[in-house]
Amino acid sequence: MRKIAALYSGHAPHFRTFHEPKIYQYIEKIIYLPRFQESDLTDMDVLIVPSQLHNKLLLEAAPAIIRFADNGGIVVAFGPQPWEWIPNQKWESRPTNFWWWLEPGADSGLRLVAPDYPLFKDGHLTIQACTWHQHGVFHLQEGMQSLIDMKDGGSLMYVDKVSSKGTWIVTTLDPDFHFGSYFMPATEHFLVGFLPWLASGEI
Amino acid sequence: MPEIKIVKLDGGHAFGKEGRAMAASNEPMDHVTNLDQYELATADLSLFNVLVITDFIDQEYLLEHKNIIEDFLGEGKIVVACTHIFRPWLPGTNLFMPKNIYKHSDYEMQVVKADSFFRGVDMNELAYRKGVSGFYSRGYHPLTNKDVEVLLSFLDGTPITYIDRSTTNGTIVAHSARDLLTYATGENTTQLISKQFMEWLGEELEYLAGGKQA
Repeated sequence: MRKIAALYSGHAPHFRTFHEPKIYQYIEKIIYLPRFQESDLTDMDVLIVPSQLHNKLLLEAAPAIIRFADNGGIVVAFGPQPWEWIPNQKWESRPTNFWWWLEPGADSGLRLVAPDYPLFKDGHLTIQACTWHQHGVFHLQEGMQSLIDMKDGGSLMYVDKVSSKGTWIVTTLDPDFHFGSYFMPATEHFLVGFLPWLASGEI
Repeated sequence: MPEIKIVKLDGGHAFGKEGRAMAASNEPMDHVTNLDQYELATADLSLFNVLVITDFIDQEYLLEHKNIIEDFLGEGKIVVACTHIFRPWLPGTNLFMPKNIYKHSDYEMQVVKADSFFRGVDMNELAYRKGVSGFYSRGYHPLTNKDVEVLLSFLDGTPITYIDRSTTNGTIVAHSARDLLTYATGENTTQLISKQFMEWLGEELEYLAGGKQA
């Protein structure tokens, strides 16, 4: 199993998400962001950077996170990214439609464009487990692979194996926030599929 | 009536950024000063008489600095917590418990005290947005103090919002739900909450200024 670390903001949604036993059992180290030190990442294979972190602390930690990926680590970034810190990040904020599923012939707009990627092919996640709402999209640089596109352009989830020696897995989805807020059941389906894949799946 | 001077901690998170979902929680408001959460320990809190803590605030940090919160209350001021409290930084408050939800109507609420800042609020408008429930509150802080005044609860009686005037020299508002200063579900009666809450803060500060003699 890969050793997974998670940055922890100290706020209520992250407390619940990372301390829930079925999530916690996959986390080798919970790193409280205000005390984050680069040496915390020694011997870790994966770092989860959840959504809704304090911007200054996130940007202070970013160079160390980037070095972790440059040294071969796997970094997962969840949620909207209004601050530029992910290598070659091109984020576009979009209005959130919480209500698409109430419309006749509802279409979430999500398009699974890499069904053969192991995360999906090996049964860890379905497109339904990735479907609640989103706060924007990413526009990709050459060499990055989108796993889920939005029908009106941009990527909801992508893998970047070209910007570093390691791997960046970036999604605008924010299951860490919603699960931790006790709201939106699809986010739990996402996490219970995603964590085992991070631990031992083919990435 | 004393001037209402609110300091509201800012989590510095993406949703709080201008133009983002829920950014309204950090938009400029009369009587409200937004303060970066990590400046709580160094800020001059003598300028304020109400401290508001919402979601996205680091409760490990609040616990480390709980003496600041206790001192603030000790000076006869008001602390308002609109979040799920999982660390014991707020005097007299039990930690959050999620409500068991089996059906959408389990999120429905009731006003327990008619004459409160929830007066006139249609409980269906508070519980449902476009027929969907669960946006407002998902759990409760079990009561530790029988003297508190419960304002809002789930239909099974578990408290969502209560006022505690006896644990400290000040007043605690514990609210396991969305921001009392900003949250509304649309152009409806839920807009009464923030307006009436501000009025209530003024009345409560006046009561506290009288040394709890009122």
